[in-house]
Amino acid sequence: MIEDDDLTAAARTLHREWKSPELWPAIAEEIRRIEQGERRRSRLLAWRGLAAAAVLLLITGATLFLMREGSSRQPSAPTRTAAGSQRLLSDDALAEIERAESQYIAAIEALAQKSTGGTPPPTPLAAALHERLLVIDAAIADCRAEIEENRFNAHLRRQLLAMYQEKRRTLEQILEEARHAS
Amino acid sequence: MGQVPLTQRSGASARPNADSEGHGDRLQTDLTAFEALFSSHGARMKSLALNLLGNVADAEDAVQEAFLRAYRNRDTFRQGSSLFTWVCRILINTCYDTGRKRRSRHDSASLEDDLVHDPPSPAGDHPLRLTLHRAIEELAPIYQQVFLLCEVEGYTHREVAAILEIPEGTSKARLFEARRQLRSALGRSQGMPS
Repeated sequence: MIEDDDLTAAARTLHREWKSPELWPAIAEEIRRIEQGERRRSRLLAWRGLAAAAVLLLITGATLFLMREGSSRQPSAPTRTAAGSQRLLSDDALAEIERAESQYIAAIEALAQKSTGGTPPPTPLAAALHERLLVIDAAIADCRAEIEENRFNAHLRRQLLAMYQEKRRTLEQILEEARHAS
Repeated sequence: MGQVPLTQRSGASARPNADSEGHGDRLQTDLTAFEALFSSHGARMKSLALNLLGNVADAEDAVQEAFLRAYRNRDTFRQGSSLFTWVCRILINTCYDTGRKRRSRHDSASLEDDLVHDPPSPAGDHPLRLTLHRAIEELAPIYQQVFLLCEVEGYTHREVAAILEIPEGTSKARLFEARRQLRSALGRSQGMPS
């Protein structure tokens, strides 16, 4: 039978001691190497973080800039479009039209002078035609006022031309009526 | 056990902001703590590793690996607990890892070869030493650890309980069972009734 004391005494002999002067310096050296690696990694992580923040800042800045640019352009866009659509005539075309108009108007005024001549209308039809002529002149005056505000509007110019044609026809009818009456 | 405490870490996120001087200070504090631990417990740690692994070279490698693992994982060290019990626990796990790797390589050296080159014991030799060593190797790890720590290295049950993270009562019960099994094994080897 093995006694407890024998077991304890035998167990004590299993404890071994020996010198290992190289062991701690080796451990310390490895620890310093680990620390250097960790420091490198942490520096790399910090740089990566900074780079990511810079990229994020750049993207955010660019997005904000583009958004602001877009919003500042948007309100002015319709104005420009409107101006573009309103400006239907070029400067040269406008000069040409105004020259033709003034000649046309001068011819009609001459016709008007000839047809009305300052004498009262001889017949009721002639009186009605004179009245119509006054309405047409009023409409022409309104249209010209609008054209003064937007001289490049071709649509208004076409309306004015139609009114002058109407005035010319009315003057011709007045002359015709005067000829019949005489 | 008079230890130099490890520096308190606030996690990896705090590190990038630390300057190199801060790193140097912390490194020096940690190195001092580990060196103090090595000075006070290194001999017993080497002996424990030798008894678990069977040869001096593996034992020294295991001790070195245990310190390095402890340093790499120092963020997980709980302030207020004992650095020695923590590193000793890591050492025991490292020894078992090494033993497993060695078994998987089928290169386990024979006990007799190892013990021929064993360093001398301060307690002198004993006729039962070789037999006891073999018998301890046959023990289950939970009994082996308690026996080696208590009976061979001379730690108290309180210390063993802290190292193995078990209650003191469990440590005592395991030692009792380990002794019973060893007495039986030694008796069989000597042809005595247990």
